[in-house]
Amino acid sequence: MNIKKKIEQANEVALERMSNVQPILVDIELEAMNVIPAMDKKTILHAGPPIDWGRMCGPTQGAIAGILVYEGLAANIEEGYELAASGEIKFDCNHDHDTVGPMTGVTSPHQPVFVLEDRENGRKSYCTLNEGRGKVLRFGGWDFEVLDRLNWMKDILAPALKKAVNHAKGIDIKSIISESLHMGDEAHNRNRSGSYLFMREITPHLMDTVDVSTAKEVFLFLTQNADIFNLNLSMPHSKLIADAARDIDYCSLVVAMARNGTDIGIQVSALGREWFTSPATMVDGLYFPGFSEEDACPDLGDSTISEVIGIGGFSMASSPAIVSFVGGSASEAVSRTERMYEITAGKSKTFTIPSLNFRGAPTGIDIRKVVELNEPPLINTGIAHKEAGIGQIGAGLTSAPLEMFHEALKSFGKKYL
Amino acid sequence: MFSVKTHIIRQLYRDSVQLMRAASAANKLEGIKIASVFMGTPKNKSLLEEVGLLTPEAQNAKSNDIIISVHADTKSNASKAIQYIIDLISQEVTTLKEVAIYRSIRGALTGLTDANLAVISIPGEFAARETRLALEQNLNVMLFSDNVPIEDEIALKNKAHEEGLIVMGPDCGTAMIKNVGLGFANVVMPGPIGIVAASGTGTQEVMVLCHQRGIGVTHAIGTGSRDIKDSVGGVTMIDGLHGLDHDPTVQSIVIVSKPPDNKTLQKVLEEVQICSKPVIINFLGKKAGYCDHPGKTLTVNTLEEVAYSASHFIQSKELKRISVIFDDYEEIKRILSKTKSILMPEQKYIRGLFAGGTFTYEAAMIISDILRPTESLWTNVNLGGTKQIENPNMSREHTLIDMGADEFTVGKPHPMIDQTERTRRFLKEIKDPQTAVILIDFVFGWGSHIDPLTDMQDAFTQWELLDRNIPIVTHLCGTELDPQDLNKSIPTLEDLGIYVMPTNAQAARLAALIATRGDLNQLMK
Amino acid sequence: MEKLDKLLSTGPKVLNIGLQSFYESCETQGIPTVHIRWEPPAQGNPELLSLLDKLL
Repeated sequence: MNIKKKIEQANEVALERMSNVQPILVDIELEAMNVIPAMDKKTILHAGPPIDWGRMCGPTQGAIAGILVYEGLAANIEEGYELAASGEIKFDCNHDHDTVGPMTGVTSPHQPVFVLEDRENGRKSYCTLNEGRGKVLRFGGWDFEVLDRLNWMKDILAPALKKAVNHAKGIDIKSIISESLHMGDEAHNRNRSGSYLFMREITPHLMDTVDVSTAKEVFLFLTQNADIFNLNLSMPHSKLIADAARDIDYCSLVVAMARNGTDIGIQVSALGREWFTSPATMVDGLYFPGFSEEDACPDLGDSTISEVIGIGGFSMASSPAIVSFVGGSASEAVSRTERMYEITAGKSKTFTIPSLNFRGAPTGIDIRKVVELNEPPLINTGIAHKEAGIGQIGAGLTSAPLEMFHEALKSFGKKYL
Repeated sequence: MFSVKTHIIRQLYRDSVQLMRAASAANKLEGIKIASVFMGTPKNKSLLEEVGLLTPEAQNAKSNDIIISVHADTKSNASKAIQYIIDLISQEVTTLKEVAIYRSIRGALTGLTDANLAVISIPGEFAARETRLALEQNLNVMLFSDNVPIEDEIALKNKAHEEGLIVMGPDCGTAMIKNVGLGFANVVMPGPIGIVAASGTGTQEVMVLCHQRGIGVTHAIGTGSRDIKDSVGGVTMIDGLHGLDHDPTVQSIVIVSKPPDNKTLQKVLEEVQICSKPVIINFLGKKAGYCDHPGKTLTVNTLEEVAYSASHFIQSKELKRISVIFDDYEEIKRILSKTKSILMPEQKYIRGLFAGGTFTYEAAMIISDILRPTESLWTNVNLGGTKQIENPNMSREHTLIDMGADEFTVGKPHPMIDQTERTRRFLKEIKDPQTAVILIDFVFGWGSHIDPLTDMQDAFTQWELLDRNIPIVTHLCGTELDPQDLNKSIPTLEDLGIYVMPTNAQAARLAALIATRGDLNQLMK
Repeated sequence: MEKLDKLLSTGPKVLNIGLQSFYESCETQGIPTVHIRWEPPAQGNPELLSLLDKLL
């Protein structure tokens, strides 16, 4: 059989496996190190491809210094920076630990995490709980207010949701995401409908398992942060789906795409754990009052796992409201999605797009097609301030640089030709 | 104080026509000596170097960057021109965005699932790849691009032949399928004629002349200029011939081409004879009579004879060579007597400036037959009996120039689209005291300049103001259905005192008679 | 030959790759046509192009 056919077949297999994944939120683990593989008290995970402390962007460094205080390994933020720089802490990327995290994506041993499972094969993925908008750790915030909220999440929010999730015997996240695409979300920059759908699922179980005042606290938090809360469920859900396509011989599809604010990188199914990286791009977006592009940190976070499975930027046609980020029109949203069909292997059976007559979302980024057409995957994303401690300053759109796809294709060629 | 300014737009691709259109518009701005807009390929850089616009920034541009380089009288005019060009280029993006979502043949097939033809007009170095992809998707191909390596042409045509598909081209400028014009094609009525041709403007002339004689054309299959070489073997010509033979709407088949290489000629003539329909053959430059079989095949000498004989056949069912010298002899006599009286003794030479390659070739054939043996005809078309001009930018004695030849079109648009170069040359020729007559063609139809006559208005005005009379003889290859509208165009030219001939051949004859002070009788024998 | 014969009998349904004016003239003539926004594949890089020829 010729190599082109082998690749086509491998990609078909990948799509089939991705489509068969049923990500269920099965639990909330109160201490990440108990479930995340190869993690110990001195391991801090971050978004994007692997990176040394010295090359990390401002927000990631700030988030790490902050989380070391949260972990009790440093007494204050200055000590946090010192400890992080000392070499005593092991840093690694989320993706290589079955984990994802938005923006800086910092995941520490004693943070609570969502546990998603594909019950068919027992594969799992993990993600911290979303802190909401405002000054938050995932954007490099680290002051008292940030740490206070993290502790509240660990002590109140996570245990309450854990009880409810356990009582529910699991919550189907895939059906929440696919329904939310019909309600104006693209499940990356807009998550409001998904958050409401999650609340619908969790409410009866919460009422059955926690006292009224706790339930009220949880509801208030979820409502206030509805536009973003579901992202941290959507992401591990996407991760579980993408991971199903890993390590298929001859498969030329991207299985991970992530940024650490310095680099952006991809992993390709047939090429194992190797990262192909390019410098992270700047985001073309809308800024909160008082901020501008000059303040922005380059593109950041594991959230591009959304685009890997065909939602987010790839399902822009589902969420015309998001196009206003680049001053676009509804037809611009459709055109962005149409372009993504050109670089993907197939259409999703689960995620469908109303404005395209319920056509399946473009799924499975094929590095060959990206290189051939010079058509970069389109990304929807938030924007962090380049300095630590300030947080989110806007949101917008960007595209993945082509160079890393060139390198990946060369490596693919080296392996198979 | 002249100023050269360069601006690079990174990672943006636009096709050369768009870029040149922008450059052409910017060249008309105040204070601009030269404005150029190119993709940053090595070839384009060498073009920039020639005109002194290869600045260090331009030198550093990549193939996927757009280089805007402007030579102007002041810095501020240069900046203005650059901004003007940027605006023009980005304007096209917005319209393009509405139109184009698809990026590949694969993708476009999801939008038009029953597509059966890919029309490809991209730089030659990439054209073979795209053609291969189209054939793999079971698409016939019209390949407009030139500069495709001949090995690729051979491989693609053989692959197409095996699959029952056809590759028209490379370098196929004109085609018509079921009366739909593709590339450069005139709007003609549908009808019983089917054409297979290696020549674009040759095809246009035949379809236009048939139309004018009340006979429609259904198909015109272009083969590209190299199909008739023995290395290619006439694959497209022969497959096209059979395609036309199978199509019930076609009653008579026409072949227009330069003479094929020997082996291919034999092969084509054999295939012609097994056709079930009459075939009229014009291998330009090959004297008629080499393959005449009553009722089955007929050879002719000119494009005009093709159309006249084909329409005669359709109207009378008689397959016979119809030759004319002029449609209207009285008119010609009147013109000749007038021009004889106004030309100065030193006005001796024909200067022909053509947009159509085949028009140049055919005119050269006709004119060299009329000229006295002592006179030389210089051309850039490589035709026996004429002399090959060393510097095509400089006329000498009788000169006919194909302004669409490679030496004029590398990095520049074809004169059928953009007449800037030809108009410049026109102005030069009318200042030459030895010019006796200007011979010029206008090719109408889809793809061509939308208003070529108005485009030359200023040049014609300068011509009118000359202190000498230089007759202009022209032929409009067009119909009243074309976007340029023949019926409106003829009076425009005639009002200026320009002689409009019904065919290219007749225009060539008239020009030769004017320049040589000849008369009709010498053509009658 | 069958596919050419079919083209001639049904008429052209065109994918246009390159000059937009050719797309526009097909549109004006009322035939089904789709325009492809073409760029040099792999940014014209010969090494990548040769890989693509083997892999895609």
